[in-house]
Amino acid sequence: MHSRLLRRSNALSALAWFLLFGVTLAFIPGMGGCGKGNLTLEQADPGAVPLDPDFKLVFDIIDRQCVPCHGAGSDSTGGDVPAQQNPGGETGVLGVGPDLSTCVLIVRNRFAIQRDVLDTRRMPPGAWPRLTSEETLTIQRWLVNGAKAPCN
Amino acid sequence: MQLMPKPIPALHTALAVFGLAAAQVAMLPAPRSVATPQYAARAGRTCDNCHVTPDRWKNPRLVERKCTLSCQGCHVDPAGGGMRTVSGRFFGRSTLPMIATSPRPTADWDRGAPYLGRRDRATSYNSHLPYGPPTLERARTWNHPVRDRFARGVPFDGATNRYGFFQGRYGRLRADPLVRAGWDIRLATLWSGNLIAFPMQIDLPVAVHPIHHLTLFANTGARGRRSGYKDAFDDPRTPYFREVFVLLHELPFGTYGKAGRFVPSFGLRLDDHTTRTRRGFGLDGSLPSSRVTGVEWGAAPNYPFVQASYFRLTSAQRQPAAWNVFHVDAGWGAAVNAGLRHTGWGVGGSWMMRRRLTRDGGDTDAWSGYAYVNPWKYWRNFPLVAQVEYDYGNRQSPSGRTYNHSAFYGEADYMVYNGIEAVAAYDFEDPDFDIVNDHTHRIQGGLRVTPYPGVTIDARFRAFFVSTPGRGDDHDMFIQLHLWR
Repeated sequence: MHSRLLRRSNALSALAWFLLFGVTLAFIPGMGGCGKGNLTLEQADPGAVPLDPDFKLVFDIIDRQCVPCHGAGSDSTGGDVPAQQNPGGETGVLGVGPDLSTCVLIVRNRFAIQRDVLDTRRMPPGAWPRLTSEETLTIQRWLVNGAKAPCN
Repeated sequence: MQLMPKPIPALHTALAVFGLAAAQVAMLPAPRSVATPQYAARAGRTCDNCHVTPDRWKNPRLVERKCTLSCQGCHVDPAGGGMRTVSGRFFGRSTLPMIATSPRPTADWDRGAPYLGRRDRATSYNSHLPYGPPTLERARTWNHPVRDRFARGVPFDGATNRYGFFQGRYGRLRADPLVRAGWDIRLATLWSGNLIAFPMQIDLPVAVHPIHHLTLFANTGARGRRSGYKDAFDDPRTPYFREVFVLLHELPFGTYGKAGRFVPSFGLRLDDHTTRTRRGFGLDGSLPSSRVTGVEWGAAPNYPFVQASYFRLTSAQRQPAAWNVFHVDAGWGAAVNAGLRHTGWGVGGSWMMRRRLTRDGGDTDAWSGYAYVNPWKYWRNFPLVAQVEYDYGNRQSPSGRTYNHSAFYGEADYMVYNGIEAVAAYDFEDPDFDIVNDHTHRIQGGLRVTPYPGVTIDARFRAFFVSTPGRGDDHDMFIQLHLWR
């Protein structure tokens, strides 16, 4: 009898802990004003990235966020195709799209970058975290300013 | 039968250490294995998770206790992650896998997977349980056989220390070795329309423990790329020393001090480096820029723990040097992480600041609160462990604007059978409170299977939601093969 009561008491303790835990965590993400912003980065902080970003900044972003998959060994033949003419994007022989590991290839695939990274935000793919607002604005301004690079 | 060897001569030790170091350089190794705090939360339910039960148990004085659910209980780096201590190795052999190679905790004897049952030969499955030495004096004369290929020798000043791990408490594993080597290799496939397979990382850690209270630790790592490790080796920033430090430890109350390159102790050190509580706060274990050079002090007298560090930084505009850990810039920072990790629940909090020129990345301040609960401790029919973390901070943009950001992570693991866990997780981030539609949510669900010690397969379905409807919502299937030793 005593052990049955003890087991029931332990089970209730376990459930109580878990429920308390669950209720607490349900409120946490709403704390502190997250998700309440109403400005674009361009409006809130126009100086957050250079007005005419150097290619090195773009290269660092691509190298960090894209090249782990779009590195050497990807398709290096695609590119230079306006986004509207190639809505599916260039898919390389290994199925992961264009090689973005060099200056030439980044410039050649700039329309695909604009479409997949800036417009549709489908890259990085799946549940991989997307680019930050600063990274997005850097690439956007680089494109708007003519995609200047040492290789073109 | 192999008896515990005597200390090996200095020349042999020097050659062994040199050989290991040379092998590391020659193999141009891999990245970081990071801790899984869920395992620590889970370990508190029984004693024989982490060591065999001593005969005639005598609870030691608080000053001498090694029993802690803080990171240093299982990892050579007291802040967590990577190479494991003998206690962590025992947990990885006895509790984690479907087939155990160290005696399985008695509470788990009947949790075997169907058709597998009690297949491991390491567990007696009867009343004749393995036992270890109850006191330091017994440990010093313990001569039961040792069988351990990955830990060799004993420190030059003797085999057992009052504040170190006792020989015999961990079955046939060497408790306090002179040299320990390991590896951590992760390969992954991601299916999201296309199937991508890529090597994520390799770590090759080596720890040398020449005398008690002193350990020299180096972990060389490299990030993999889809095309293999070759690309990574052509990159001057990788491979590199992920961690390299001198550690003073085996001191009263679990006290330690370390100096070198490391990741500051802040929040829960998850092994998923894409989690926003890690990457969003500059603590992504896969990036060289997460490393700092400094000193750290900590203590873990049983259940409470505290860790404090002071460090120098590299500019956010450049990568830290791969091998020269003293190549830092003008910035500095500090972090404190403290809490209480009890057997059935735990709470903790962290604070971190970085001070540097705006052009080098600017100032940041961050606070973290986290907790775990282990209902399994109270009710053995409910093998669930859950943990949450909420981080909040501010940082500076290159223009000097200061803005707030936050991230949240929650995870619940349910052990279906020995070695098979169902995992559910959710994380959230708002990277800038001022900016519209930049917050994201991610939910994950899947299985983590450890068929044998040293092999874990983690398969997860992950769904990602961005705050702008119709733009960027996506999902994938992520499978990771993790080889660890």
